[in-house]
Amino acid sequence: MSLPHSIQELGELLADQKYLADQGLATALFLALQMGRPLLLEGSPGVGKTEVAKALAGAFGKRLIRLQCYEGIDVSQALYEWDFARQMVAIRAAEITATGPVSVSEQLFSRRFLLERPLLAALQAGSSAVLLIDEIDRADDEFEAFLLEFLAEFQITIPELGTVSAQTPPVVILTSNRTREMHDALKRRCFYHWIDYPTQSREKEIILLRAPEVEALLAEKVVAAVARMRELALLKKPGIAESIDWANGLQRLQVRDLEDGAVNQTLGLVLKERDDLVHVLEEKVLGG
Amino acid sequence: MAANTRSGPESRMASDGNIGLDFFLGFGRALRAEGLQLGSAEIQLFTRALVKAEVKSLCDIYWVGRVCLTASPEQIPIYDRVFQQWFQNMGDAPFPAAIALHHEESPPAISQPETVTIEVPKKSGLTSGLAAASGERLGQKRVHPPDVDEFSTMQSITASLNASPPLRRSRRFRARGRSGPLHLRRILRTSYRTGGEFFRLIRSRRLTRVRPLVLLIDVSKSMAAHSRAFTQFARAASRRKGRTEVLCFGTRLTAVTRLLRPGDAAAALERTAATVQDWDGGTRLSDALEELFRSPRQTQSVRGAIVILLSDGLERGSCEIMAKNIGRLSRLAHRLIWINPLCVDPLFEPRAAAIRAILPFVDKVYGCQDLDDVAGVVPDLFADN
Repeated sequence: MSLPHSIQELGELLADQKYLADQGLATALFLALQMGRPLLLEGSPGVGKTEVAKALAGAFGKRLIRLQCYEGIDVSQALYEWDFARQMVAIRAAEITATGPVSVSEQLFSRRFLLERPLLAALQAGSSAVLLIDEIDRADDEFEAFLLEFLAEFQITIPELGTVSAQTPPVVILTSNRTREMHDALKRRCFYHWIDYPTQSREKEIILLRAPEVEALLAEKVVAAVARMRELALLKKPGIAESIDWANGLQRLQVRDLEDGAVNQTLGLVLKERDDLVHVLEEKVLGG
Repeated sequence: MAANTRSGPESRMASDGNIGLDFFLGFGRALRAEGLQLGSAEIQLFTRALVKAEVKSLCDIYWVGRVCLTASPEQIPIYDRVFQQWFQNMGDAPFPAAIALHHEESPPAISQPETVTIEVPKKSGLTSGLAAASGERLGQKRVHPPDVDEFSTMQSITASLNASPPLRRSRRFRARGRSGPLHLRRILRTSYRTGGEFFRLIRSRRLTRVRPLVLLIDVSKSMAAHSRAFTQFARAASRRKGRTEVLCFGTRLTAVTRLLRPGDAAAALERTAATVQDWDGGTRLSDALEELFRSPRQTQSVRGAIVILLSDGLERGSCEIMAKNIGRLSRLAHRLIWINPLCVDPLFEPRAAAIRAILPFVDKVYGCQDLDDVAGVVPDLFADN
């Protein structure tokens, strides 16, 4: 599918994928698509950073390639690895069939023995893929420095095989929870967008879109209560994902009124810290 | 460049009321003058993006600019302000609602304590900034640069911290271990030398990394006699290998790592002293910790770290809340070490309720009053790691 012609069109395409993007996010995505630059999304946990990439892939029929970062991630987990076990078997097999050494080594370092990891897969897929580099703040500095090179050139060199480069670069979305500061150099190569919590009316729309069986009135109450919770000094503020879960849970339990005592049993869906739970009950955020 | 920024938006507008390229370049320069790090590449990108996005309204320009020119949430209020200054003269175009919205929704940066029990000492050469709005008295401090002895002690502290740093196992593997999983890559590569025959299995080993260190320095009045030494210790610690975070607290929490670490020691200490606003004020360890936990980033920096609390623990707040917060701190941290100037006295008994509330959560307590004391305990700090 071709690129969208306007920011508005992109917003509508994402809405078809059940993702409501505000104008800022739609602008950021539009520019990233049009200008072939990576987009770095930051924001509190649960505001829909990862979902953006999924919706984008869905909207344009692209393949989503996800690289989940973690501490200690290195080239062999992100880029490629030779399939050593199969290579060893192949060497033994070559001994038995007495293949010449030259053809063995040619075989051993062919694509057949190369394990593609997400970054290489994204290069091969080119513009038919959306590459999601998730939670880049969890990876360590070394990996960030490596990414810098990758994102600038969209090519990698495998010593045994040669250089692999993308014909057309994939769409790249990076997300970060901001548990540490990214290097300026990496930021400079990306568009940047900070995703805030949505307004109450938008959050209600999101809940109704994502969980259609939830009644509008309940969604409204949930959204208002969650907004009050976010104003408190909580250790972990509830994200949109939490409010969707909560609304869904309440609907299934047939709880319509937040002043109902039964609501307290469901608070675990929105608040994931015991201290927060106590705090919210003390502040009587739910009314009553 | 400065001349351009000062000439203001009006003079950059073309006479027919249309805005030209110069106007946007000027906008970029104005942002740069406000401290955003923008090279010509970013500004060029911004102008290209404006064309690509076919901007029609101010709102469009706002978002395109924000996506291209900002790089962190802290820059967004600056961006909003400069944007308003530059684009307010653009006729009756509706101003983007999103800007107003952003200000409404952004949480207050610092929670303001409600009571005041703090006296700022009025010495000559002491600039005391009184912030009327916040209801708390703030004081700045002038520090004298470290003398030769102090300087060499600081250097020896840094060296000593580096000599036996606290380590933890990393997630990365290297070859040449004893009991780790097989290192297939190395085994295969070695086997090429022997015609594909494996004579030795090579195992991998885990690498180690230096554990992060977080210093929480009490700069309240009761600590005034020691805060000079402790800030110097913090400077020395911030120069060690590995991640080090320094936070000062009195009535509020200030992150000073970035001020303390780079450049000349005297200048770094001067910078820090000028930035911390609540020197010689009251102690609110509990509030400071709550503020820390509210920031996911700072909470993350404490996780798995060695936290050194430099405080006398004299606080009047509620002990239950204090115990709750210190408990959380000690659960997040790998080790919680307390350096308390009161503990120097061998007859010292923890009688203050707050101190007794802290003690159960602390792994080690040291008594230190000056830099030499601190230098003395440094080799022992990570001994059990």
